[in-house]
Amino acid sequence: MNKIAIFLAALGLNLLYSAALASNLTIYTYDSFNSEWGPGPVVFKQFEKQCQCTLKIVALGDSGLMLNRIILEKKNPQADIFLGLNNSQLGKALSADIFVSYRSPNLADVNEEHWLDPQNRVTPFDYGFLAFVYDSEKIAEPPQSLQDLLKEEFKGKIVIEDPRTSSPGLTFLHWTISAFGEEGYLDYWEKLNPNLLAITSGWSAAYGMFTKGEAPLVLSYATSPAYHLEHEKTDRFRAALFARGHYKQVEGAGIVKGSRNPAMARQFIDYMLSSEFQKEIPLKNWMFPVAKSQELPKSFSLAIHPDAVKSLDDRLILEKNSSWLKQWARRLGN
Amino acid sequence: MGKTAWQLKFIQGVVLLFLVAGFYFPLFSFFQGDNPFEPGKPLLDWNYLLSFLNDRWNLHVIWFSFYQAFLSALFSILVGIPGAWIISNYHFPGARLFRILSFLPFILPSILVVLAMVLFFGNNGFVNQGLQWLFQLDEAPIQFLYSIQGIFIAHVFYNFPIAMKTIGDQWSRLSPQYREVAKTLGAGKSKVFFKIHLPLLMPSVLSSFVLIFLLCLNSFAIILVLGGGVRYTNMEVLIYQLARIELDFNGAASLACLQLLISSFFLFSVFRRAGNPLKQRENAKMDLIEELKCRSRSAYFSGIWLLLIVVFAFGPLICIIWDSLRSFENNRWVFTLKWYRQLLADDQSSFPGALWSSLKIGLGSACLSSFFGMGMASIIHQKKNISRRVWEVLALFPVGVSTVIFGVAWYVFYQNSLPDHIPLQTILILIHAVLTFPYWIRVVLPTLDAVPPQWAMASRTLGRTSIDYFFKILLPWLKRVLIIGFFFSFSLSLGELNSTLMIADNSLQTLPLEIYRAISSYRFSSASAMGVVLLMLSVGTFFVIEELLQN
Repeated sequence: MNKIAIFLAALGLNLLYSAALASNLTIYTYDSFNSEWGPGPVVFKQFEKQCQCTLKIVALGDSGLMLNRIILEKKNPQADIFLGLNNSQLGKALSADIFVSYRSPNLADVNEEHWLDPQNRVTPFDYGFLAFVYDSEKIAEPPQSLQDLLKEEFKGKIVIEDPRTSSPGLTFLHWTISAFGEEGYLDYWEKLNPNLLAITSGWSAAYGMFTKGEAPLVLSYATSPAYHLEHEKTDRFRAALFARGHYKQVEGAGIVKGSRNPAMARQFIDYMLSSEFQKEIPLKNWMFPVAKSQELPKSFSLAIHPDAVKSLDDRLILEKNSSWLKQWARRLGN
Repeated sequence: MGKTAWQLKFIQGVVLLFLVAGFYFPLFSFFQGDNPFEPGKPLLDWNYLLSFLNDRWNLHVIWFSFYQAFLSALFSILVGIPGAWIISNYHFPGARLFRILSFLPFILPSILVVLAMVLFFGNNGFVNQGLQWLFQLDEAPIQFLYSIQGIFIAHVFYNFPIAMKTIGDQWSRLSPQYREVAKTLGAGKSKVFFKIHLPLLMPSVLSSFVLIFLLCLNSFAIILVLGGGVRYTNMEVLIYQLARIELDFNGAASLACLQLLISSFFLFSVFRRAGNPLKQRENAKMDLIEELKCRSRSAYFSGIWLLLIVVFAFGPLICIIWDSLRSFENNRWVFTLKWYRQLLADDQSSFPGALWSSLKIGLGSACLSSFFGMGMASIIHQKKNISRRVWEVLALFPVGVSTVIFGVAWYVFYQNSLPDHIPLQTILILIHAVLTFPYWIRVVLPTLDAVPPQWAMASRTLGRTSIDYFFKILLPWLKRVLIIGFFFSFSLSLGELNSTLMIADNSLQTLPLEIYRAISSYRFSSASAMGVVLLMLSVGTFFVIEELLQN
């Protein structure tokens, strides 16, 4: 019993101690951005040197979760910057009125097609394309269009993410709406359904099933093959190029309304579009940098850069998303 | 029960204070409060619920949630009962390891377990590849994943240990007299089980049933990934969709409330009355190996059950170990220790820190959870009839409410006050303890209820104080279930993710957070390696604590 008591006492002491560090700028982002393999550790440290300040990074879960937290904190904002919002969440975030406008001078180096918001409440920092990644040893003739995915030969071979619980899943739903229209997308999904082995809760489960050999075709990003080339030295995993184009995902960052340090927040947005930040994006976040002047690394030769299909308007998404998801579940669930 | 000692009343008061502050108050004030998205509008919207219920698809979702949870719990009990009988009747080599290993699935984040099941049972998994090779088949012979069977199998895999342990403890204390008397009266073996043992074991069967039922009701990744289709949608999926994707807190909270209401009604009707105090004493256990040599039929049955369970339950866990030892390089899998080297030897690695804080939080919350459990269980134990049923249902709320919503509720309630003053670790310990004490209660309560009241009386007649009674009689008698309850809380805390995600910041990392981070950065094998280190350390911790408490 004594040993236990000593142990508990030690544990108790340890818990009462907490180190509180003052910081000048708080950045919220999704977890993989700030993982030890992500761009976070490098780019944030560099910015700290440049601005002579300390950053507090809160990086948990996916961007949906962090957006959740920012909205819940609206009365009492904790974050100065939210980094990692994507275009499928844009309408929702703008309608929640959580960002302030800032037009960075460095935006001149960004192609206008990537700009997210005419009022510049959200500034883009990278982009990518949804794509079906396939195992070239198991699939000789990859699909070349959304229609091709309906072929009999892919029956039970495709894994995708659920649009109700995952951001790539939702973006894919938007892709099909953009391609087949609001009147046609459900018919497409009904035909696609038998070919789906599983509709997973998130990207990790789907891509895990793919790398473990359970399914040869998975909904992921056009840049995914570059990861395997860079880290596994293999070109076996390829992204299927669809002739009619792919749906684009743009990630952006915004200055949170109520930020206690708006000047430094603006400085960070400028930094985000500079080459120090942009050059870390390809090999660490596995996306394309938005800065025109940024060169791409070698392994990105495997990352396809397709044409973009027309993105849905974010006000339309805001208005209709809920009913799309409802109809989708009802049609596929019956 | 007589008069309650003031010490006990004090403990009960403190526990209630913690639970109200840490759970009931934040939750109910969140339900009562404004919609954080549209201040000024109430969060719960009865019109929303009415229109929700007026829809065939939604009714199907509600029906399916309860249907799958009910059957999953039933199957887990059916698999657990033979196990309970075996662990209460036999000694066998590795029995202790077997007891400990069955806690393990709880420790791992569900995504790792789901992927491990795919690796083991999947269409291209080990079992199928082995069978295909053995019988020269072209098609995978076993295809139960991605269907309702996949959901059941995964839920049984997770939850049968709860049934096995809770029922097993009570079984091992049933006095052999019951069986002997029944036999003298000419009852056969099955009659003895159904007419004598099962009714006597009912409190623990019921106790584990309600717990597993609630767990499966809140299941998320398993339903989506292994169910394989939109047909199998449960309420938790809708709650997640509303809270995280649509940011519709109004809808999410209304649904969570509905789910809580329906399950409370169900639980209320399931709890009948407390189990009767039983005539009991420790059963002598037989040696399985000796019995096998004597060709006893029950021993053969036990041996086969154990073998099947070991393959079924530990196959996926072994897959995680295997996955952690390989790396895909130059177009083939090679075996390597590089993931472990990166985790443990690399200066940059945040893994050791996360491991340490996870262990601390796990141990701290298991202690606190035992304390909460003790207070709450003693209250339930003293109550009778309706009021007892109400307390039992209340004590299950933390498992019954969607963790996504609880995380949000806690965050909304405390965001302005607590986190600045109290270290995050302490807050997480409190939250994990609040979320895990219901397990503790479900495991301990059947055994506590079965304590013959004569003991307390006898102890009083002998002039002993109630403190004496507690430490000298009750504690030793409950020791085994206390350890089981402690380990459940510990394991669950190690694996807890949803509310941690809502509350943590970068000053604190826990293992599940690290594992998710690795997985979302393509590092699947690294995540497996983290899982393996976590499992090893937990097994070690179990052994050490068991040793400490045994002596």
